[in-house]
Amino acid sequence: MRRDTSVVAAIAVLALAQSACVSSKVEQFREAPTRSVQIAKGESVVILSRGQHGDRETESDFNTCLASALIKEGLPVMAEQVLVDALYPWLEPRTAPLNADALPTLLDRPGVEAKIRAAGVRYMIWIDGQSEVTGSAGGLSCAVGPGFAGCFGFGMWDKESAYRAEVWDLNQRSSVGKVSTRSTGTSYVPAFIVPIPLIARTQTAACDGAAEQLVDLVKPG
Amino acid sequence: MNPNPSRIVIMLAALALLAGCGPNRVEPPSRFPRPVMAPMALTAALDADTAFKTYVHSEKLPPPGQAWRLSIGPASVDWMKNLLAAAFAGFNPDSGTGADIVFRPSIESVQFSTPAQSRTEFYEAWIKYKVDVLDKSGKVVANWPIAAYGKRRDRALTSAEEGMAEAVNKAMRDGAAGLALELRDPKRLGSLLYAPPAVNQGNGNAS
Repeated sequence: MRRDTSVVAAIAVLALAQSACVSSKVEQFREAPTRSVQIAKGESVVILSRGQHGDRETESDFNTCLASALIKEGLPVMAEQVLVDALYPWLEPRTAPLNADALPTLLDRPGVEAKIRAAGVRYMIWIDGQSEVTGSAGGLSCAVGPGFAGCFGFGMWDKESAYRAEVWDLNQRSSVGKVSTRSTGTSYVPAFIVPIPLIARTQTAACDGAAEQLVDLVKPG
Repeated sequence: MNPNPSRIVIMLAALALLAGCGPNRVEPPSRFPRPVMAPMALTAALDADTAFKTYVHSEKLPPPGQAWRLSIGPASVDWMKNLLAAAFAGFNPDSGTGADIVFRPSIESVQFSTPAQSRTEFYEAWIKYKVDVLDKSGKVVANWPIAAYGKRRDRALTSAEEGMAEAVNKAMRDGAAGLALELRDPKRLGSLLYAPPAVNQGNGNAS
């Protein structure tokens, strides 16, 4: 009986360590063929989310993942809320610039450029996009009774994580480039007493892809 | 007399159930960052009446929804005071007498939605403000409708009240951004306050 329990536990642990396949497409667009920029000492980047859309918003954990990946690569990242509060109310969804052409309007507002310089922010990285389940099939049912608990069935769902990052140089008042990433994958959960989740980590794949290209675009000093 | 443990448990459970019967109370945070604005060389005042200062939106959602009580007034007063104090060289938060410009705000409507209602992942809040702008003589020279919107994603381990409070806070920040945009042009505001008297074309006496 003890051996059975340990086998089930081992299967569960093994299953948790598994993940389903994810396919990713990452694209980088530079404003000039040779234009990649290098961050200087004392400068930092800030990752900002687009909040203009009523029905969607980039998940905060995507931005956290991206920030961690950029920091790991040596890029100093300022927390989004710190800059949004420092420039209040000019980075609220209603007032934030929608494209690089509108950047001078923001920077020319009294006091804004001085605040940005004081914060040491050189590049703004605007993130737009989200992860969503695009389809699902199958079903699972679980039951608990005296001396018994288990799940039976098979569930699966497709997920897509699509994000776009746009990098703006606040000194040059222009766009440096864009990175777009799209990851898709199907997650499976077969269950025979113990459910075995095989999760397609599309958001993590999109985050890793975007971070790799962003570091190529804005090189750590 | 020793307290009976089972009786205490029953009383606590009853209290917990009773606590669950009340409406979801939302008190959005009243703290707003200091706005980045160049103060205009005018004195301003906020003339907020009691209805505005104490505005509460209560609504009972259709079953299985719950009742909600959103306290909108106090934090709305705070964001307006915060913004106007940064936008003008002189600001009197409590009295309109003697100021070059007086702002008289009102709340026309409040709406909200929960993730269960909208079948999205968001708590959402809409606040429709109206701000009457009065000159020194008390004449209304403009009225600005400000439709403010805020949303917050539903997160694990946070209560519905917290989610809604943050959505309302974001709506108020959006309202502040809307009012800041109205105030961004000192010339436009000056022309509202100090418009030249209209020339009466029909009564002209040529000399």
